[in-house]
Amino acid sequence: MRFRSTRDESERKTVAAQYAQVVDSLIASRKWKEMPAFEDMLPDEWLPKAFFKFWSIPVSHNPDGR
Amino acid sequence: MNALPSCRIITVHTFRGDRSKAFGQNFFRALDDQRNQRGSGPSLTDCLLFAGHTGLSTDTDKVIYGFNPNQGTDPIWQVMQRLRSGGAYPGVVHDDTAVFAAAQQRGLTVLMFDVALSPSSFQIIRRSLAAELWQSIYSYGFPDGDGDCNCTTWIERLGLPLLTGRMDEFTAVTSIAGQVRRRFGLCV
Repeated sequence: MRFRSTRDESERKTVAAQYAQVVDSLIASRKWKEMPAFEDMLPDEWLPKAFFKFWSIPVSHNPDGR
Repeated sequence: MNALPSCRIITVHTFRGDRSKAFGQNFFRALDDQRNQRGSGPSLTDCLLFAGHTGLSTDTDKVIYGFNPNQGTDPIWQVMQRLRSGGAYPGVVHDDTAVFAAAQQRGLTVLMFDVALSPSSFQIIRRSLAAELWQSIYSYGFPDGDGDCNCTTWIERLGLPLLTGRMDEFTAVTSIAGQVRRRFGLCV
């Protein structure tokens, strides 16, 4: 995963924005039946709010989302 | 023509994690409870049941050995955060037989295949495994992170050959074409 191969914050922001778009399209597809593998997940603070909402998992550590 | 040597067998065991909504919700709630000091967090077995796992056994006993992060005093929620961020932990090899049994009990499909080795190659792998059980020389990390390997690629590090050399088999590994760059450990 590109996110883990860099420590550059701006590059990570770019990857996270693309990840959020993929999350949105998966949600819109109504065919997202399985959570992604751990290694395909961003760290909590980089995951979009929509991810937590869709999977109904707690977001208390990330109140603003990204 | 010489007779074939009597082969020794190493069996690779692997299962895909249970990533259903129901299991995932319980698992992430347990992580969040631990993070907020409301609970003790998920068990290590639950962690592997969600993530999936790979291990190996030899024809000398029935124990399935697996490579795991040595989390030290870090709680599981922190371990998962650090690994997803690209960080690494020292690796440790456990007897994970019970984890594979739990996966089977849960209805997850545990895939197994044998790798037949000459007696001398088998002994080399056994020695590596024994050394790893004593103290692993590898660090644990997620793909493209700072670790040397995870449970799956640790098998490769042990020197166990997984590909036969058949081109159809190799080209069927679709990620070969899907990922143009592979990063190993701290090498970018």
